[in-house]
Amino acid sequence: MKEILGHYITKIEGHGKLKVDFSKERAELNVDEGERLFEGLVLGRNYEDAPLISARICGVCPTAHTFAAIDALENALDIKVPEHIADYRKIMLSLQTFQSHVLHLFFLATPDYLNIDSALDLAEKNPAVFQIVLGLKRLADEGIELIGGRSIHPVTPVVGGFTKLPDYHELLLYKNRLEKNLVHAIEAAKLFAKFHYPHMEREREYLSLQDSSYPLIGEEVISSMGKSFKVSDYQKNISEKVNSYSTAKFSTKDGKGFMVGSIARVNLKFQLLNKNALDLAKGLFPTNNPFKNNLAQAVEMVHYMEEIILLIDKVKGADVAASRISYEVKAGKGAGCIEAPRGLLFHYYELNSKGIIINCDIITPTAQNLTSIEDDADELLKINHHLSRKEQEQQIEMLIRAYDPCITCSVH
Amino acid sequence: MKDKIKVAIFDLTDCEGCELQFLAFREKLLDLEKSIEITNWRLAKAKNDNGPFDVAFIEGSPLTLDDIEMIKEIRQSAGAIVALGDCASLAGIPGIVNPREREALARKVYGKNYELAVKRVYPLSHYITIDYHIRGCPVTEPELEYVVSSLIWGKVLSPKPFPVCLQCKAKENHCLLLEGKACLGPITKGGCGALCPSVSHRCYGCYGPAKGANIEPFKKHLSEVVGRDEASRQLHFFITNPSMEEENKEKKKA
Repeated sequence: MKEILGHYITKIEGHGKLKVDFSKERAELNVDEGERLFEGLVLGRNYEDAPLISARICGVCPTAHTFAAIDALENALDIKVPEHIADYRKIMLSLQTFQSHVLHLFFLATPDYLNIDSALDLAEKNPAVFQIVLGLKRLADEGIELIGGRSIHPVTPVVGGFTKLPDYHELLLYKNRLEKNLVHAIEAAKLFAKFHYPHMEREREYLSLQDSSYPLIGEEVISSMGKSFKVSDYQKNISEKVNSYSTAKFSTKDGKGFMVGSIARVNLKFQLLNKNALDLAKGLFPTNNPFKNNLAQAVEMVHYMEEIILLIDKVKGADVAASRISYEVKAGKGAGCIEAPRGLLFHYYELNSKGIIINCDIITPTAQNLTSIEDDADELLKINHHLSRKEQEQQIEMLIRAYDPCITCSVH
Repeated sequence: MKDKIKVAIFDLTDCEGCELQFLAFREKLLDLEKSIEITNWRLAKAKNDNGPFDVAFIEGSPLTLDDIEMIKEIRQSAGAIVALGDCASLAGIPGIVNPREREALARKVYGKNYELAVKRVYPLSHYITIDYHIRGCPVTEPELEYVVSSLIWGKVLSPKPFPVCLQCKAKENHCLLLEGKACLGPITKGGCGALCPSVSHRCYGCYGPAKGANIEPFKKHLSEVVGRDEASRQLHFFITNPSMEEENKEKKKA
């Protein structure tokens, strides 16, 4: 068969090809996904379809898209949900990042550091770790299933709350399993502190959400450069441009690239990490080395497991039968933002008086990181003259994987 | 022992949620590895073989020229091809708009001179012969396991010819349609265990139409429940696909 099957970057979510011009020290990430047009697919449809349709942007982080859409729609309809519903959402968002990080860390990124072809080889090379990984994957999948109905493309989350919430004792059983697995997760996360990360530092701006705890959902975006902005003003602060070689748009802020996701969150909100995650992260952050995004993800995997345990304690006694509030459908517009596994995820909807969607805008974390990925790749080309071209390309691919790009998300 | 069955897993333009269900096998994947060998899986492996394969699973919609060329190549080198999920099998989510709208939307997103390389969204079967379809958005792990184990044991695959309502009734759920909600259970292919109605969410048809589904009379009923526009929008999700409807209309004219 022709090369066509071979030259997509492997072990990343979606289809991207790396194109390097060594003479100009310039790297391009050619995004080859077909046009997906999600911002158009929801137009003319009922607002209730938006969470269902936008979940299909990504099979790795559908829960993140579901809640970003719900957040934006509730802002458009002036809906404020009670605290326990907001807490259940935070459990789901924590589960989403836990699930996505387990997938990326162990199934996609680890082979780079252990020099193996795929994570399945880990079963032979280190069966003890592989068993831990399978246990964590099961735990994450089953947590989302417990509250969301299924682990991919959840069904219970709706505007106004949930169609149904599980009995609290089921959450307690789940919490028990989380507590038992936490010690294994910490062991697995420690592996990432031992890996050798290529040396590369580049100053850049980091963005995350302002939240009462370590960020999950919020109304204000904070920056390592000091200046924050409101989520409702995101379109004034983040610009998108179309590059001819890519069906994904590239974002910039003040004309420059920036970074969102695990490194950004750990760098900016280090002091809010839960206890075991903080112990793991001590002395390792802040960092300007993008390869260490994997390390930040390992820290966050532990953090979000601890967070789910805390939140399950917090929702004790809440009335699960009161899972959804009633509201009026009316015309309006609203932006929403959540911390998806890979960073800030913005959704924006405009509705007419019948609740039909007349405008939509979505900016995904990977679209925001693309400019920074290319700038880092250019930097690697400048400092890696001693390596062969093949080795340089391999390292750039490893860099791209470290960012955990979600190409399918970036082409939404 | 006979040779391991060579399996490939390919993804076209889509969300990759269906292929992730292979990872939901977890320990079972190691058991399966005694009988099958995954020789090409871009999402999970660095070294990928170009075939031949005994079975190729293909997920997603062919929306780029590369996608279309690739599936034709795969047809040449694979014994059996399984269309994995609704995008591959039914044109899925990208098919919920008609071709004219699609062109206009692409210009809105990418600029007014933008040309779509592939103008229409079709399921895989428009381009190549498909041996088996697994429905679902996403496909479920039990059904995927059933298909993979049947392939290993050489069993004949039998489709499930019942709608969502069958399993819903068996679970003794309240009927959402009778409560005045736009539940698509009666016309949607079953096999999901009536997942949505069991958590008080109406079925929105994510397994596609059931075999022999009487869609027109159902649409009439649904129109009485939620109005004609909304009924038609709900069906234009997974049940009927504007992209395909357009194609059928043009065929009739010709």
